[in-house]
Amino acid sequence: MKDIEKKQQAQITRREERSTFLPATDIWETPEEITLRMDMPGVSKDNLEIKVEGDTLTVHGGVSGDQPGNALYAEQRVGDFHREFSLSDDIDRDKINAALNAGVLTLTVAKAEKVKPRKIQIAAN
Amino acid sequence: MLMTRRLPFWDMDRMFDEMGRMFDTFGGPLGLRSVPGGTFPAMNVYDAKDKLVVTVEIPGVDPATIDLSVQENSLTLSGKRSDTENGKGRYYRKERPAGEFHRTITLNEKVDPAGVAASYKDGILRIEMPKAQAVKPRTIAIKAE
Repeated sequence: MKDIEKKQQAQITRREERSTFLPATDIWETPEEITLRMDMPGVSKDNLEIKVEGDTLTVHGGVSGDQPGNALYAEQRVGDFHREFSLSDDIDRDKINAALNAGVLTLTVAKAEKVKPRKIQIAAN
Repeated sequence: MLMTRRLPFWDMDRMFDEMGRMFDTFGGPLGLRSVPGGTFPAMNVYDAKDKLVVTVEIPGVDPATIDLSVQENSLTLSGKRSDTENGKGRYYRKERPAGEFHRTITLNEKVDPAGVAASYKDGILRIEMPKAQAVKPRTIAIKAE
């Protein structure tokens, strides 16, 4: 009985120690592409994973949980970043570019050719 | 959005923060890593034996543009996070705070401003401040009469 309690306690503590957060994201669209920009402070290139599976774009950034000392005051807890986005058919899955700079991830997603605005020349007679 | 807020009454400021915290979570996705208005960038303070370490989550800024000043018992940080892309297309989501910020925190121990070191990596500003030499205990001799 005690073992079970202990195990549960350990699980609870573990969950409290490690949280996962949604990175704050800006998303905007231009006629050619869609850009997603995410705040992921503490995430380095080596700890960042971006994958496309079917219609889902998943971004996961690992943050080292090392604390420099005893926390006296904390406005943010330590945790990994994780967010999933659904991709529509209008997006070219092979044309996704990612750049990580100073904790900000920028994903540029190209629109499929068929949905790009096309200029139609009007012949003048 | 202007991040600076200077209110003369601390309690009032606190109340607005609480309100901001409440309203920020409404409508936004659950678990979003953000801070209520006026508290960007988020700071954590740690006690590391002989020094105080402050970590600040401030991704996407040029560290040269951050104004940092440390006094014996306070730390002030100000700067601007610009939003260069603004106005270039149509926004679907805007969750990242942008604009000017100005924050001062009071340190619970005296530090030596001359020995402060700051570094910026992966969007986190880390400030290390050696604690001031503790005032040596002074013994007062009592004269016997």
